[in-house]
Amino acid sequence: LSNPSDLRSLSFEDVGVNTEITPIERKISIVGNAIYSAATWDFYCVHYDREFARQEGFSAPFADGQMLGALLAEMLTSWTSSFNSIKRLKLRYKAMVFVGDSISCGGRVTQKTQDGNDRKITCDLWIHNQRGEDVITDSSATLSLPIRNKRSP
Amino acid sequence: LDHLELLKATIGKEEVVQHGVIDLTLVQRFAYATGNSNPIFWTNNTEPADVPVPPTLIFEVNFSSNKPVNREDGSYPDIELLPKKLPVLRASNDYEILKPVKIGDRISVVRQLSSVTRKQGKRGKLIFLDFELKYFANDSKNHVGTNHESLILLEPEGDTSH
Repeated sequence: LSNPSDLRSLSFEDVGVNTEITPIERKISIVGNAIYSAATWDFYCVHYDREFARQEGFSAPFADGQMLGALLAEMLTSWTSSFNSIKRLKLRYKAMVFVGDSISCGGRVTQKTQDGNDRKITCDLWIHNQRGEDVITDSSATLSLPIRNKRSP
Repeated sequence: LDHLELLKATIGKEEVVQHGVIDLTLVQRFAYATGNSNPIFWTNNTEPADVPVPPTLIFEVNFSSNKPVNREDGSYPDIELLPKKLPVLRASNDYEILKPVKIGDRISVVRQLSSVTRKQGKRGKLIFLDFELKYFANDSKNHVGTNHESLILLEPEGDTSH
């Protein structure tokens, strides 16, 4: 394996339909949004400037939707212990996540497929805010998992 | 001409909109920004080439562009056919990860507009833009990922022309 992070990766046999993905939680802060803006070189002020956000018609700065994708990807890579497992990540944004909100990311396996040596799972994904509202909807991921006997000891 | 018609005229035309190299600092800052505490990003004795690139990084980072960021409002003049910067919301992203990328890869982003539609919303007219962004690493034939992205621009009432 070329990637040290893949040494203890989740195998195809480790999961079944309805297996829950280990969830993660995050609090959205104005500093966190500014750091994300700097890291991604996306400085749209609506994510970290309260006055600008108000001028644009929003109640407060809000998280870039793509950051939610990064959080889901982190959840999936932590769960599988592999940075190469995600093949597709579909995100449909339903509600804005404002500074001060806390979000919980989770998911569940909905399908396992095997085509020769190609073993994939499909997962429904969700993000809820602190009020229990859906932040994303109709979102999913497709992951490729190794078989157990191909894992390193 | 209504700027929507001008936008529609660009549908299907491919344009290289960004290009840049993935380096260790970019990966570390991205990992930190997304709260990723995996020590693999910070282990001093790990060769940079062995540090993994988070799978959605290429889709989220704005690589260098010929169209620099606006110093006033932080916007990008990416959609230059619009009369002015309009508030933008993200409707959806669909990332297809075809191959992993690694530190040192030179990324090129090819964008094409797939569709443009205008709808009436509660706070004004909404312009829906669907893009396909293809990502290539080091070689224009090495397709490593695709992002199907839908954006919503909030257009004030009565503001439909240049």
